[in-house]
Amino acid sequence: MALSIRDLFQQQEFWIYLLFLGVLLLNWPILTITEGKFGISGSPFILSYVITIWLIIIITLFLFDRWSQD
Amino acid sequence: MINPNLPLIIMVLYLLLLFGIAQYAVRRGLEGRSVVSNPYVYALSLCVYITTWTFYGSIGRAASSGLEFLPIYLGPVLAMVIGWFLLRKMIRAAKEFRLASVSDFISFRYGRSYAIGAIVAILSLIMVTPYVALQLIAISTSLQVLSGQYLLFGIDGIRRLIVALLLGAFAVLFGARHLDPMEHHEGLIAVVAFESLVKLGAFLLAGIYIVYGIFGGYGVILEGIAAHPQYSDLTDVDYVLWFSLTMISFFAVLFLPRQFHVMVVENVEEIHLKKAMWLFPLYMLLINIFVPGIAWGGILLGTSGLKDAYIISIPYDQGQLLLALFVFIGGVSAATAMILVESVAVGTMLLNGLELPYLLGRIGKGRNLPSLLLNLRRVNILLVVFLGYLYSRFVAYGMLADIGIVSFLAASQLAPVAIGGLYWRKGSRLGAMAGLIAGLLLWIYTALIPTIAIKGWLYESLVKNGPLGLEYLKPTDLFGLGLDTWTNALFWTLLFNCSFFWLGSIVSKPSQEEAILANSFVDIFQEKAEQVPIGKTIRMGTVDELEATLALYIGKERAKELVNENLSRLNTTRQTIDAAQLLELWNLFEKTLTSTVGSSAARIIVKETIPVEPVIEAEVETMPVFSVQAGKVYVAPKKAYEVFTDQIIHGIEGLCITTLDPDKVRQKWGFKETPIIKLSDERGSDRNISSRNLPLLFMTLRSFIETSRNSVVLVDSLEYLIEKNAKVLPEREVLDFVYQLELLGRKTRLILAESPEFVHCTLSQDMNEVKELTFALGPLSAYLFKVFSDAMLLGLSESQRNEVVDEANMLVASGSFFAGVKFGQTEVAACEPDMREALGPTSINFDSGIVLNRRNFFGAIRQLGRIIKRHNSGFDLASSVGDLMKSYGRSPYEISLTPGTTYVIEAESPSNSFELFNELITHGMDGLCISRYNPQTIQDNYSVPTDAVIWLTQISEPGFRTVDPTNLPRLSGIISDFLTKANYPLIILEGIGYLITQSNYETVLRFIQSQRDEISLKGAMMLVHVDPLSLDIKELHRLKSELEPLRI
Repeated sequence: MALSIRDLFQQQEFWIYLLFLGVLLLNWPILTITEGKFGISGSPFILSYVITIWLIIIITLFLFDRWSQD
Repeated sequence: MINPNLPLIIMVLYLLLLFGIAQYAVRRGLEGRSVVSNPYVYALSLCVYITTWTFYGSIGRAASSGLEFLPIYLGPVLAMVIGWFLLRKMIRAAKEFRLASVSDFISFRYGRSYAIGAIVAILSLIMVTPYVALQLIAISTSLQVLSGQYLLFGIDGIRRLIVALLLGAFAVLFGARHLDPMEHHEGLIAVVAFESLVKLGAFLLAGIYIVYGIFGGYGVILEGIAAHPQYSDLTDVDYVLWFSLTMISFFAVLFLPRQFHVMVVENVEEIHLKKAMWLFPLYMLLINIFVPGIAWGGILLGTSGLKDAYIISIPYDQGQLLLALFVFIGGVSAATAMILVESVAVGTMLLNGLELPYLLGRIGKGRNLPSLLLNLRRVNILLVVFLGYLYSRFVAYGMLADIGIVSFLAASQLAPVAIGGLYWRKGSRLGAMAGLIAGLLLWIYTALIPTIAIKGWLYESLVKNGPLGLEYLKPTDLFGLGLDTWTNALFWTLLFNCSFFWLGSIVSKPSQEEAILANSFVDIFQEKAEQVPIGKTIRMGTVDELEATLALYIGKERAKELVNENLSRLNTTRQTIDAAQLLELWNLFEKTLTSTVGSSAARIIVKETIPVEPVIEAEVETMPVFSVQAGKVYVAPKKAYEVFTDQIIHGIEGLCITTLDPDKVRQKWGFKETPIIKLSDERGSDRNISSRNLPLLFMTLRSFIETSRNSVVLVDSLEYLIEKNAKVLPEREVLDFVYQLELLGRKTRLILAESPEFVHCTLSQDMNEVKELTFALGPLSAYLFKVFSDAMLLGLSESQRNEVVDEANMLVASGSFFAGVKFGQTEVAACEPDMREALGPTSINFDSGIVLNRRNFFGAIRQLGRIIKRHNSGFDLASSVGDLMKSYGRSPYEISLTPGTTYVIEAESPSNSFELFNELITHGMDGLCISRYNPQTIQDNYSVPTDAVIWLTQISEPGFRTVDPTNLPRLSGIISDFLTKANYPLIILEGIGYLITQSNYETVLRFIQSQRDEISLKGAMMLVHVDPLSLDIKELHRLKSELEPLRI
């Protein structure tokens, strides 16, 4: 049976994986995808990308706060 | 233009406002309505991470190097991802052991090492000095932007000095108010949280004004920058540096002294961390969102002056003086919060980790220590601020951002030993010391020196050309890897730090104390087994001694208050405190000291309080004459000292507790170093312990045994102690002491010098292993019966109790109550009538010389239980003595089982039967398990040791004891042999169905019948597990009719 996200939140391994994923997404070589690209109004794509990942992490941690039981 | 003095005046007014906020928070805390005990305040306090380095420095970095300011915030965001596991573990450990700083945290984990505490304290002082300087520089720079080159009182640099003095005074006022070990700095944290709001507000307002007010949107700035090819590199990223900065900030957010202080030490409830885990990254996102806009907007506007100061100089240049002043206050908030928390954290660290352990041995006990400690802490706080001021005055720097990275790199050096200590049991003191020293030295070489070296001093001779012209040793490019300065420093420092930590840890063997602390850190989330059973009464007296020692360090009133608080928490009083509670109080005492004076100093104090240290007397190469095994208790009537001496001259650390003159003992047996404690009421020597002070004696023994790796203890003698305390202390106190001593005996070699008459078993002249001292020595079994019978009578009404006691006394007088019991001193079991009268009608009268073995004891208890049941039908024997059974290491089930009985347990699964069996054998019974299951499976699932299992199988498996199921005579032989040898035997037979399959029902039934008879004769117990589905109704009925049913 598949685990729900709430169940995942209770597992240390999930957070360690998320940490590695975060490090990976916010570093070389993934960041090179954004290199030299510009979005709306000439904003550097790398800035939008980093802020997006940053926001996803905040939302995940917010959901952890809301959903997890003590 | 504004009045040149206005910003300084506004700053002073702002500090007064902060003072008011702090006072308010302290008052609320005292009223029990804490403003700090709140997840949002906690989250805001974490934002002390945002200093002027962000407020001004990030903008400078964004204007010069583009997006490279970002990784400094990505590291902390990533750290929050594992906050619930890593940070919570740190918080739990710090709370559990009351650790008040990161140096206490690390030094405590590694065996309360003074050296490690001192190294971390020194490293912290070095790392925060430039960082504090950075804050002062930032404030004076922003003052300069607003006031110009105006000199207050005509003295250069006086504004910075005034700022430093103001902040130092503020930190002293709210960071060192009193020496309360439980203190949360309510005022300080409230101020930091408030300042976090102010700096965020100021930054956002300035950002909105510059981005939307001046430029009309972010897009305009970005398009403007894109239109200038010379700024195209602002969006380029050096990926290696990016990664390095992410890692550095990841570690720094955990181990910077101020971050550790607000996150770990000041945490009120662990649950607050959950909210902080997302609010802190959100705060950082908000405060950074306008950094590129302000920095690049400043470039486009051609703003003059330092790029770091764009946030204040742009509104100022645009004539927005109010906004500029608000931004200035935002910057002041960022700086003051950092300086306040950092100086308090490092001030505490210096005191606990460096000064106190050194001073404790050198200051007289007559000194007013609480006052001295408080003043030292204040001096330390001022020292941190003053060193920062000196640094800002005399050491030149480039951009603010560089100073911050140097400090962050230093904090990263704590990560391997701190995180390693939380998750790696083998991480040792030697490894930690080696790792820290390697990291510290390399940090100085690769990061600190290059940033403080100036032309003409160290720069050419070391930084530019390498030492002695050796280019491959250039600090900024060690071994020519071609890395940037920060990656180079991070790579080499952490490589050597981790390697030395790992190597040192695997080559060294930790002491027992270190191993215990390592386990308690690694397993901090596991529920702790109760070390000492509760519910016993022991003599008062040492509470006062404990309070007096504590008072030396935290003051008389506070010590009294704390002891009373803890007594109340333990639900006891000075008059009724029991041994377990006293132990708990001692543990709290150690923790209180740890939080007040640090782990290293607390260790010194506790060691002084209990002055017995394990020492190796000698180590000769011959083998010991006597074979004394660790973890066992021996009685040696004639040769106790001989055996003891034999052990200590063969390298075992000894402690001698004796009634004899220690000098004569040394002379006769040739001890030199081995400590001797004399059981004596004489005062004047700290090596004398009164025979009536059993708690102190126990503490001394425990302290010695737990700090020794390999110990032997001689007690001469328990008979003396028991006699001295007879009719002086309640029987239960003596029983507790002996039982706890027996438990300690499992961690050492315990040799008792007792006379043969005092021991109720056959003794040889040399050494005799004894188990269950309660039943083996003197009047202890009678004491035990009294304690149990008192507990059983406790729940009865007075009339019921009188009836029960009368009936029991009649049986005692007739000799039928203690059937088959021998008597020590007298031939008469019951007391004389007049004595009985004197004892009162509510006690069972029996001779104190009565000697009960385990079977007699439980027989008498059951007998009494039956009498009580006749008078009170609601009486339940198991529940009335359940707690007592546990407190003396017995299984509560044991009281329900009668010796000489074979029980049948009906259940499909044998789980409950095995669990009961394991419960009983772990509480002192000798067990034999006969089962169809593989012994390894039984061990894995039910913790029954494999050597206690006979496996019914037709195959022969090496390493296991096996019996062919058809060979019932052999099985009978094994059982018979076991019953002969075992002291208190218990057998479980599982696999009846299998036995029947392999032979037939009648044969198996006959086998069980014969075993039942033998069990009955030997007074043993047997549990026969039967799966009712494996037999037909008739077979089951016949089997059950032979045995006693047992429901679990």
